[in-house]
Formats: sequence, structure tokens, C-alpha cells
Amino acid sequence: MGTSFVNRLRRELSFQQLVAYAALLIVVLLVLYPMLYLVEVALRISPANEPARYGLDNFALVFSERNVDTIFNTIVLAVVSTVIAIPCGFVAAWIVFRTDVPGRWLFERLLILPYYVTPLVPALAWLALASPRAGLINQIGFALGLSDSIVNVSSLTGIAVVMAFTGAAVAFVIIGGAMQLLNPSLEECAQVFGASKRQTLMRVTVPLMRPAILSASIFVLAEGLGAFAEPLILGATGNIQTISTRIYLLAGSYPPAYGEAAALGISLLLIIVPLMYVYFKLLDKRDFTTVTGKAYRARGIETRQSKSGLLTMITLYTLVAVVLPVLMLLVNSFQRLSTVYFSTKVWTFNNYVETLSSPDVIASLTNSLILGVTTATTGIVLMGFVVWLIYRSPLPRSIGRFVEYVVMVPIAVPRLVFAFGLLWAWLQFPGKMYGTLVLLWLAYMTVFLPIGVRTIASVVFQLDKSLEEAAKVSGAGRLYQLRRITVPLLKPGLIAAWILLFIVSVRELGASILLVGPNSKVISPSIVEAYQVIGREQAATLAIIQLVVLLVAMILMLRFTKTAQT
Amino acid sequence: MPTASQPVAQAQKAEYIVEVSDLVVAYGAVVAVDGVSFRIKAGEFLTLLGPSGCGKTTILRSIAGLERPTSGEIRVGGRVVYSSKEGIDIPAEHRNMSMVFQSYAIWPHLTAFENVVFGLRVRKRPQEEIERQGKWALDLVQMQQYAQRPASALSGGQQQRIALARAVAFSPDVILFDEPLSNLDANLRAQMRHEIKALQEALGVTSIYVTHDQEEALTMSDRIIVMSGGKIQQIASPDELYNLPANSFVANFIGSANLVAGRVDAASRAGELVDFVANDGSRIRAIDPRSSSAEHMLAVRAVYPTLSAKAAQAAAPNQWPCKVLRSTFSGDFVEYLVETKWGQIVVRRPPTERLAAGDEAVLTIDPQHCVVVDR
Repeated sequence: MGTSFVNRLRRELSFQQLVAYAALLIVVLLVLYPMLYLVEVALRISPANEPARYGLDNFALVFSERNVDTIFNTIVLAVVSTVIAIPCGFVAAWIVFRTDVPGRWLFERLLILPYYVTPLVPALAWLALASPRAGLINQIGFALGLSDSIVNVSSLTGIAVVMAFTGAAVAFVIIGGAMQLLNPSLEECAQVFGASKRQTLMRVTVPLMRPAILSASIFVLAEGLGAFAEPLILGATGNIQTISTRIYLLAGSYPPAYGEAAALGISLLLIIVPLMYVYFKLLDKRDFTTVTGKAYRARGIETRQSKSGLLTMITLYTLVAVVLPVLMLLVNSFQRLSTVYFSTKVWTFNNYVETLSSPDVIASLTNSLILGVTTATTGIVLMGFVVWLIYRSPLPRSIGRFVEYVVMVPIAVPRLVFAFGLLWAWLQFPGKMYGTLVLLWLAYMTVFLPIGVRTIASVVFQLDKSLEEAAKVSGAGRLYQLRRITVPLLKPGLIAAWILLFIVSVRELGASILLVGPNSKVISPSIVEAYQVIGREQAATLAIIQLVVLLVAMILMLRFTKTAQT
Repeated sequence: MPTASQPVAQAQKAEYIVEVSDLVVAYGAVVAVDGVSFRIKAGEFLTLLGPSGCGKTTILRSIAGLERPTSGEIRVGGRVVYSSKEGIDIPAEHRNMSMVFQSYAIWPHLTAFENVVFGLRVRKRPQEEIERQGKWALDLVQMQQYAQRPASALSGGQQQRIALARAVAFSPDVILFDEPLSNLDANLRAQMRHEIKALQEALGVTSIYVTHDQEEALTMSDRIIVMSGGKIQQIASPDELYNLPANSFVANFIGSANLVAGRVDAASRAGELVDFVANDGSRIRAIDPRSSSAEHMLAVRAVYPTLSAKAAQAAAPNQWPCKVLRSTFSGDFVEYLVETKWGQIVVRRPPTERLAAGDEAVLTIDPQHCVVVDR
């Protein structure tokens, strides 16, 4: 009996190791294979159909006037939008999570909205609202007798502000998360010791939030450097390009300038990777002493006289950053011509009828849903294995660390740049991968590795290890334990993670736009296509349809995360 | 009570530093504090003691201004800081109090020194005073060598000391303690208990201390308020609380007591002494200090009865033959479960006297230690 036990143990161990190595191989292939090809094409100076020759010629092209201009724009947009986004996100998070301002429940849900929809929504909406001549705000200005436009969303500043609305939502989520973990007695203590609300905020809350503020800044800055949707939609009239839109243009030109595009992409990485390095160092050093299990706050900080001021502030911000853009798109989707507002003849349901009867649209909607479901389902399985590989696998700890870093690489690589590497990699590959949903699925599985792994890891770590151990001690077998204890306990969290992966798949633009083919259209690139080819009204209609799908998914997700917490 | 006359650092106008009247705190239908009134003299160390959820922390937070009561009035140093009738609710930062939190609430981004002088900094005191008071407070808790340490690098016990120094550094009217020792290990807890008490006595600062630990309450306090279900059960000195509990809850919650059901025979009253008639008709001579009229029980502390092999003197009061049912050795004492004709009681005796289960013995209880309590 002794030997059979040893044999069984050995068999099980080697099986576990086999699974671990397989997961390792998949992750490495998914992430590093496209990256290798990105470098390869950047160094390649011979055309695609000739034997490969390598040199640095493509990198010389990075310093052309056009590209230097592009890099300058990219940095300005990223920096300006971050500088605007962080204070907005911080103040909003403070009001929602720390004060007694009424309606916090509603504000919380509205303010995270931009985090879950594509940046296409604010981009299209603000184009309709504030383009220099036809924008609604400027039309109102002209009607009131002004000779100059009031706002210009096609300027660098304009684009940066629109980017900042999305950035602020990201900052709101990151800083808000940290604020909810902050031990409230640290603030209460300051108050009892005689500090006014303002003193408490400046001397205690802000300094304690510094790590969260810093990591939100880096994250928003890195996202800003990779920004694609806003400059693509808003920068067209002013001919403002960023590295991402330029890569898109170069890859789509004839003949495609793949080498130059890749070199630009790599130079963007050279800016982002050090930022991300700092970001992860900060995450590692996170100080957990401010975090306690006992959350004792029956009421938020009493704002008293300043309450109405803060309420006005957050209401205005939410209206401008979230509600107004969505309303604008909604209005546009019911218009015959989106630039004519002051006429009763413009209203129509036709956009919806036409959009929903177009085979192309139906195909891209169907494809998006198929991809969303497939990515979420396979993603949960793969990322579940990756989490296990990192934290509990039988492989050496150093391999776990390595996987942890590999998995985070896609955060540092703008999706468009990454998709570009993937595109090139599969163009080289025999077989017909290009233009299929499988290629998109591969791209999604890779670019969502960081968000998926982090979400699942947090779900798994919520589970107290002793619950599993209790099952083990009471004699439950591994499978029984998984089926009766682990999975039921994790279920709400895993369902929420599934829906999150579904959401990010359905809204995905940056990677998809390079990889879609005539038979593998998905919705976000179709919105761009509708905007460029058909018209803003149809683009708005399609964006609203996508928004509805995402909203339904979001509401479901919030429901499951709520039950996961209680 | 001699303990209430400690030297007071600053001259106090009002005799009572903190006065709480008819305090009610309700969260929806849940009433956490149900009509509580008490007063604290200057320099007094008052403890709110009770099981978790009894409302003691809520009272403390209401005094601090961190919780808004539903109704009632709170005065500090004669000034109304909260009154539901007059619509007064002075914010926490204007109540000139200080507090030691259960989680210490040491700001991790500041040094130990900056934590200590926070109350002085926000009051914009001169730099010279900040330096002096900060050093003085750190000296008090023997933490001067850690002054420039970042607070996050301090151990639990050190953080507790810094929290204490911070609480006294700006000469507050009152210090509020919210279960400050509950996160420390047992040895450190005993040590900190003595340090807090010594500090409080030396400075003579009025203190309100919340705890669920009866040992802390008994050893540190001038007076103790025992709370249960949002109501005050008894306000008394530790000695009185232990020896003359007002009701069965207090008798049970403080120390270990035997409770005997029965009734008082009013006809037998002689001063405070009465006969307590157990359910089997046995008469137990007892004291009834409050001559209360409610339903009665008899409380007998486990440490007071004596057990001997045979009766010492013939016909002494409160002496009964008994049988040892169980004998449990606990180190500092031996716990016996003995049976008399009126019921079973638990008796704790020093380990020098040993009886075994099944032994016959004589149980003697001094009438002074048989206390009639409310049910």
C-alpha cells in the first residue's frame, strides 16, 4: 500500500508539473512571440517577399520631421491629459468615498462608466459637441452672435481634455479603491486632534494616498501615450497624429510601411517600459499598514457648509464628463444630419433601422458577442491556470516570478503596437490566420492577460485558505474539494471576472482595428469605419448599441461583485 | 471615594468635566445607546465596560464628535458640545479632546515626533512650544530615541506608546481611550496597562476608557460603568462593582459568581442583613445594600466561600455540609464544584488545601459575601 501511494503521488506531481509547463509555454508564446516579430520587422530593411536583411534604417525614419512631430504630440497629449485627469479623479473619489455628499451611490456608478465603454464614445460625442464650426456648443455660440468658436476639440488641448475624462475614470477607480481600504480612524484621529476638514485632507488623506496617486498617474500617462481612439477621431481635422494613429496609418498605407511602423512602436515602448517599471515597483512596495479589516465608519466626513459646493462640483463634472457625451450620442443617433439641431425635420428612427438591417453590422455585432463569450470563457480557464502557476504551482518560485512579469508585459505595450506585432507574426506564418476571428481571439487572450490574471488572483485571494484546508482535513479528495468548496465559494467572483473579460473584449478597438478582415469584423472598428465611410449618425447609432450591450453586462457584473463581497 | 481627588493639572471651572444626559444613539430601528446619563469629575479615570455591541464605543465616539447621537446632551467642561434640543453639534475638531484608537491610528507617512506634535501643529502653536511639548511627551513614554523614526517602522507596542504621547502632548481637556490595548499581546498588555495608569495619575488628566476586558477595567479605573444592551447596568468603583454587584448581569460579567435563585424574607431584615430564602427553603444570611424591590437573586463570588473537612464552630451562620462533585486544578487556584442542599456552587480555593471529588466537607460563606442582586 505504501508503494502505491508513492506512485500515485509521483504520477500526480508529474501531471501537475506537465500542466504547469504547458501553461508556461502558452503564456510565453502568446506574449513574447508577437513581441519578437515586432523587433524583427523593425530591424528588417528588405521588403516582405525578399530574403531578410537587417539594419537600423527604420529607426532613422523615427527622426523624420513628421514622426518627431507625432512623438511630440503623443507626449503632450499624454502629459496634459494626465495632469487634468488625476486631480479630477482624486477629488471625485474623495467626495464619493470619503464624504457625506448625497447621491454618492449614483455618482460612483456614473463616474466609472467611461472606464467600461470605449474611448470612441467620448471622442464621437465631443466631436459633435465641440468641433470648431459644426459643434453644438459653437453653433449655440454663433447663434448668440459670437464670431469665433468657443471651444475647439480638434486642438491638442481639446483632445487632451477628452482623453482626460477617460483618464479621470481610471484614476477614480484606482484612487477610490485605495481610499476604501484606508483605515478611517487615521482621518478621524486627525479630526479629534483638532484638524479641520481641509487640514485633515491636506495633512493626512492626500499624503496617505500618495502611492495610489502616483500609480494612477503612471497608469493614466502610459494609457495616454498609447491613446488611439481620441486622436483618430478628433485629430483628423487638425491633422494631429499620435504614435498609435501614425502606426495605424503606416500599416494601412500602400505599400505598407511595416518597418517604420514597428520602429515607431518600439520607440513608444522605450518611453512606456521605464514608466511601467516604476509602476510595478510602487505596487510591490505598497504599504499595507494603512489597511485594516475593521471598517468602522457609520457616516462619511461631515462636510456641512461646503456640502452644497462639493455637490455642485461633482454634479457638474459628472454631467460634462459622463452624461453629456452619452446624451449627445443618443441625440445624434436619432438625427438625419448630426450637425443640424435647430429643425424639427431632422429626427428619425432610420439610423437604427438601417444599422440593424445591415448585414455588415449584424456580422460585426455577432462576431463581437462570439468573441466576447469565447474570450471570457477560455480566458477564465487559461488565466486561472496562470494564477495557479504564479502562486501555487509545483514549479520553482523563480518561474512563477518570471510568469508574473511576462503576464504584465501587455500593460506596457499599447494594444495597437502589440496587434501590429501579432499581425506581422501571423502574416509570416503558413496557413490562413490573417482575417479570421481566431487571430482576434489570440490577440484578446494576450492583451487581456494582465487584467484577467489580476482579477482572478484577487478573487482567489479573497478565499480564506483555511476554508480549503478545513475541507482537506475533513478528508475531501482534491476533485471533491474543488467541486464542493472552492468553485462554489469562488463562483460570484469568477462570474464577475467572466463578465469583465466579456466587457473588455466587446469594447476592444486598438488591437482589433489592425486585425479585422472583411469576414471578421467586430463592433468597435466598425464604429470607426461607419464614422469614416458612412457618417457620424450611423457611428453614433452603432456606439449606442454597443453601449447598451456593455451597460447590461456592467449591471450584471456589479450585481455579482456585490454578492462576492458579502 | 479617596481615588477621585487626584491633583488636577489645569484649573477646571466646572466640577464635572464631561456630562452626558439622556444620550440615545439609534441606527434606524437598532438602538445602540438607550438613554444613558453619567458625569465625570476632573482628573477621574472612568471606564465604560461591557461585551461587544453594548454601545460603549458608540458613547465614546459620540463624546468625541465622531458619531452623531439621535438625542440627548453632552457637555464638556461646562460647554454644550451636543444637544438635540438646542440643535448644537460642535464638530470633533473643536471639542479639544484627544483620543487613543484601537488601531492606534498612527499616521504612517509621518515620523514618530510629527505624529506626537500633530495636535500642536494644527493649532498653529509656536515652534518652540512644539519642540518642547513633543520632547516632553516622547520622554513620558520613553520613546525619545525613536523621534525621527518613520511611524510605519515602529512595532505595535511602540506605536501604542506614540499614540499615548500624541494624546497628552497638547494638554487636552479629556483623553478618550477606545480599547487601546486589545491589539497587543498579553504581556505587553499588562505592561501598557500600568504605564497608562501611571501616566494618567501623574498628569491627572480626565480619562474615559472603553474596554471589554474586566481586568483592565478593575485595575485602572476610579469608577466603572458596566453597560449591556445600550443601557447602564451599574456605575461604581471597582471594589464595589466586584463585591456588591447591582444585578445578575454585573455579577456574571465581572469576576466569576454563583447565582442562587430565591427570595428575600423582608421580616428578617436587620440593617443591611436579611435572610435569603433559596427555592428549597434553606435560609442564607445575606446583605441587601440596596434593599431593592425587584426580583431577587443571590450572588456569591467563587473566591469567598471556604471549605473545611469538618465544621469549625458549631452553629455558625451560613454553614452547610456539602459534597465535592468535581475538583479542577488551575495552577493559581483549585476550582471545586460542590453540592449543598440548596444547590450547586463553584468555589475557588488556594492550591494549599486539596479536596478530592466525592469528599464530604463543610461550606462556610460570610454573609457579607452573599449579595442580594436584581435578577
